[in-house]
Amino acid sequence: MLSAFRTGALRSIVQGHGTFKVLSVVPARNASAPSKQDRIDTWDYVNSVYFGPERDMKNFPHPTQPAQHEPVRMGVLPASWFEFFYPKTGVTGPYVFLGGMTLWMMSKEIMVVDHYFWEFPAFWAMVYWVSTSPKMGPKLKQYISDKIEMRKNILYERPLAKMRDAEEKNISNLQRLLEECETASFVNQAKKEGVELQLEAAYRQRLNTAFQEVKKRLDYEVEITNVKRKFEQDHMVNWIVSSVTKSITPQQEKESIQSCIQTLKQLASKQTAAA
Amino acid sequence: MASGATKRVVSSAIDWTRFAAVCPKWQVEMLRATKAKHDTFVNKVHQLPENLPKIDFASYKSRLPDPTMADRFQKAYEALSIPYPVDKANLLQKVEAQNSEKEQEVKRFKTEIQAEIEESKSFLKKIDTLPKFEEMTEEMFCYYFPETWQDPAKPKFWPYVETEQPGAPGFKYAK
Repeated sequence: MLSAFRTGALRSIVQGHGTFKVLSVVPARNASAPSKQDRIDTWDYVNSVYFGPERDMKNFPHPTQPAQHEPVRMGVLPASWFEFFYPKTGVTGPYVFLGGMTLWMMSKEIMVVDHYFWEFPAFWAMVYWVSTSPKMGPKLKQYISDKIEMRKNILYERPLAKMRDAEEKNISNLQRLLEECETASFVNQAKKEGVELQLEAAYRQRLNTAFQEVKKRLDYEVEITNVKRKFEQDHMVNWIVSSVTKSITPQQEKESIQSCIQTLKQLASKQTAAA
Repeated sequence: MASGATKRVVSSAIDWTRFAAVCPKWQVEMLRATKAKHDTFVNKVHQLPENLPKIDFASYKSRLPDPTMADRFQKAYEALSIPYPVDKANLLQKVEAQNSEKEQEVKRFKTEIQAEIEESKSFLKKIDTLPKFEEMTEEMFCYYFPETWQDPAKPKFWPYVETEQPGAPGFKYAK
């Protein structure tokens, strides 16, 4: 169907153009999976045919299927027929017309009472009975409207909802992708900064080296003087101590030991007296 | 102390939280590696002094055997001019070139994506132009959804799905 449509056969019929005008323009496609663009093209074209400016909506309005039937009486007869009779004949008019019509048809043998005659009243009696029965009528109505709803869902609502969801998901994914494009600028910045930071680090390393070297030399000078002074001091102390020890005689040593013992003894006697 | 021509970079201006937020999931590892590398550069810079450190020459003056030596050192130290390192391999220029190339690529990619988004949006709008199901006849429905129409010239077999038709790849009953 689609390929026929695209190849122009149907288009030419609808538009009344010469046959197969666009035969070679648009190649036939895989009928099972039309692409997005194909769908847009198809819908644009079909919309222009059914709802375009050339369509005479005033005299030939777009047919719609009402969800509910118009109000009826006696189960099946439209109430508008009865309304038609009321101003002319009063409320009994329609029934009189129905009975009179039947009698006339029977008298003229248009309606013949043969073996099949009772099928007609029996059928409509059944219709009347089922449609007005409080048990069966609503159930039947529910069953049929469910069937219609299901068909609508399967053919129209669900596929369209699927398409809509897919598109919305696609859009949100793509917008995230757009956002992710920002990473490139960050990476660029990181690369540039990497080089600049390394240059800066090298510069600071140079500063630090200069500082360390100058400081090292100064510290070296200071350290040399310190060491010199310390050595002189140590030497002086050693020299004085050794000359003092050399000057002490054995006699002096003995005397000092004696005096120490004396002191200890005195301390001991004091301790015993106190005890 | 640095030459005026080169701008000194002392810290990173990258917004890493934003970077992590926009990073694709499959590139998080790369992001982590980049951050680690970048952090080593920054740390190295921060470990070192920003300017030439001061030396307390006054204290040295009293401790040095020759006080004029400290003065000489001070004069020389203050006159010291340390050149900023030169990017000998011209890496910065190379990186700039690479970046501009990348930017062009990203720009092209973005316009492509934008076009795709526009197509999707227009398709969404087009879906809303379809008449209601109740307002469609069977014929109209077939025009709007041509793929649902059963072509009598190409009959389908039960269960009427593409994969179970003769000629479909993997169809096991007949060739």
